[in-house]
Amino acid sequence: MKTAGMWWADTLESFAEAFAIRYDLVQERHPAVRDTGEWWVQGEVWCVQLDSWAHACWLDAVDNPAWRRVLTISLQNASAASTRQLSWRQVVTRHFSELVHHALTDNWPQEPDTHKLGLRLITRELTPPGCFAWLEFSSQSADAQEFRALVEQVIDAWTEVVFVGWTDHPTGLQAAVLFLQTGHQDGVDDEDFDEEDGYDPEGSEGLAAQVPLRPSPLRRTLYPLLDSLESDAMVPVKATVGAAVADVHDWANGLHTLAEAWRERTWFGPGQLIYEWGQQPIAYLLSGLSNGQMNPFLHMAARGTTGSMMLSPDLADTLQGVLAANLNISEASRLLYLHRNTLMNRIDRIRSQTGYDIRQFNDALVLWVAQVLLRRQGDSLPSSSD
Amino acid sequence: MARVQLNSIWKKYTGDVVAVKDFNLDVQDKEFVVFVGPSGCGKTTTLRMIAGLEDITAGDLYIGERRVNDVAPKDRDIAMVFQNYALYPHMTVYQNMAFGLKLRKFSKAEIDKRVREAADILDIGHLLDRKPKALSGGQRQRVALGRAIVREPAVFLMDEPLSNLDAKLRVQMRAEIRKLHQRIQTTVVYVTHDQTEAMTMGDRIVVMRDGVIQQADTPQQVYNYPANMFVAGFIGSPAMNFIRGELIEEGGVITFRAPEVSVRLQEGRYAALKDAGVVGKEVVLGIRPEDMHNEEMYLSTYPDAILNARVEVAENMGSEVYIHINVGGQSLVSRVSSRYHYTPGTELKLAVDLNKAHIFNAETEETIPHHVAEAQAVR
Repeated sequence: MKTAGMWWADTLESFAEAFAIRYDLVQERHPAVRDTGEWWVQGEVWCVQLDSWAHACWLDAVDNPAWRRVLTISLQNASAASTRQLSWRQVVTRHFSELVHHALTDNWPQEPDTHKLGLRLITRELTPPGCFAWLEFSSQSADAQEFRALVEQVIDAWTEVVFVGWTDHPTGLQAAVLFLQTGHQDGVDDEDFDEEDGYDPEGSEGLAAQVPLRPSPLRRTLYPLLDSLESDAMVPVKATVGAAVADVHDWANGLHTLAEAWRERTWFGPGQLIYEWGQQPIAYLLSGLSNGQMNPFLHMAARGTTGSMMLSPDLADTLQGVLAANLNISEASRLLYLHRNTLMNRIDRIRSQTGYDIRQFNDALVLWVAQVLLRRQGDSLPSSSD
Repeated sequence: MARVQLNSIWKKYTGDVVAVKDFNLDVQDKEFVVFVGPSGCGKTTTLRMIAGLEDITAGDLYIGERRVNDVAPKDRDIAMVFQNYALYPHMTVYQNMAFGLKLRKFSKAEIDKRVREAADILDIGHLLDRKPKALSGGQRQRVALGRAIVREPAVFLMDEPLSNLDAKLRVQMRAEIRKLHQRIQTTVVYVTHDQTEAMTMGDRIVVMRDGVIQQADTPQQVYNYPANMFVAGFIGSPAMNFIRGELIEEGGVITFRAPEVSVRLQEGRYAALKDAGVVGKEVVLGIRPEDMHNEEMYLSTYPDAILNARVEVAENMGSEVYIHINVGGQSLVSRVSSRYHYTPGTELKLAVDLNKAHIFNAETEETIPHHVAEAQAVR
């Protein structure tokens, strides 16, 4: 049974489930003084210290030192997170690369199938350079197993793409995590891309469309994959991509930036087929702010506001449209497909709710930044000061 | 075979402007329709909505008699060809063409039959054992088409399929796709940003801008009777020349006037111009480069529509010459026969073919039809 003080319970359970091994939980103070994550042999059974009042004894073999090392680091992470209030981001960046690196150098064996992303990663033959990507599928067939098998078959047909695992998407749908190896481009040649006309398979819809004239190695890998998922598997898909991973030490950052990019895309590129971390410098800047930094700004921005600073979807769209039209009302009404009078009415509603006149650059900017930050605070992903 | 109907289709992404607005189009069975427009105009988004790869925010989409708004892509009886060949590098041509069918659990015998038939249509039977690396760009594109053909869909959706090919191959493949369409007799919706591709391939072309259809008609109609300045400028190469000026009525005669330009319009157009309420107002005169002539015959036919021009640059294209000219401070382009040789600085007279000159409302940018009846038909 899990109680408030049992910070190690989830970690222990994940480990047991991932490697399909059983344990006995012993809740008593052990005579020897041991640290969290320390292992010892009792009779022929391996035991691991959890906290000063509990340890676990494994009923199945955990002879592989790399397996034991994984649990040690995981327990230490969990302990640090519980006692020092480390953020999710800090835990990942501090310890994950060590975990991965250690596992790789110890020739980690194949593990049983698991959905635990962190543990699964280290068993895959990921060869940097590359980057992590997250594929979102906007619709899925009722048979989840069949859907997964279909998607995995297509992904497996691309040698430079490594399927990492399935994760839960906040929308309730499944999402796939991949590692895209950009070090080699077997079968995808430079001459496939038109120098003069650039490369624009997604039609550059949306405000933040930034299609490079010559696609990055990443896009050269990703576009054929997405096209084959859509044309062969007939699965609607959008990709979010993390920062480049040069070697195993970057893996944690690669995953962290992937999560950030996913959060950014809802505001900066909802319609784009591929959204890359770092695509929008302003998003990078704003995503780096902690709650401690965001809150004073939001507090100052809300001064003089009679209603909520958070705009309803139609008013938020109005703000986006006016900015996209460089504050030109005629152009904004064309972009938003609204009659000028309707647009003016919405602008007035924004002013009466927030006190900001979005026809003025400063007002539009402050309100826009506030929208991004408020939306961030409402996200399901943990922020840096969680 | 199927008809595709888009009734008041809208696409709106959360937190973004509207990508497609009130899109209405009826694509007939076996028709080849081309969506054309600049980047970001919504043409790919519309195609993806037909495919089921994007949700439809509002409106009704029919493929055949069936409303398919909520039907999964795999159940829409469509096949897609993308700009990427998206060929699996480690599979042979045969395996590449068979892969989609294998995923859909077709029998081996059926897969073999379909792949060989498609290879025969595309004349790639001799390439079936090769891997993509060993194919030329054109051959790869054929394989990509083959992967769609083996599905035997009711509708083909093609998104810039020729954009990765060099100019020469593109011209060749344009004709190949048209021939393919004639042979397989299937409805095709084709997206391109290239107006030449649109003009040469489509039974009908749909010109889009900012998510809105500007004009949907046959290539010839769109070229000869553009609905507005955007269409007029987008379709045709070199682009239509625009001269901003004013329509003056004096002594029962309507004349277009701009600096150093005076063009007396034909009486037959007066009623439509008056009906549109643009007489005495600012308008834009649109003239295609081939409708400005240096031959004596035209100069004598249109003595009231002569432009005094100075040559800035002459581009010899072999069969014709594009002369970049300055008329009253405005830069225009004229297309003349290559038997004429012009050097920069040459002064010349050009007659505007008034039957083909267009007048646009300067404010709305809409075309003023030549005749009142046309205007009423447009309304």
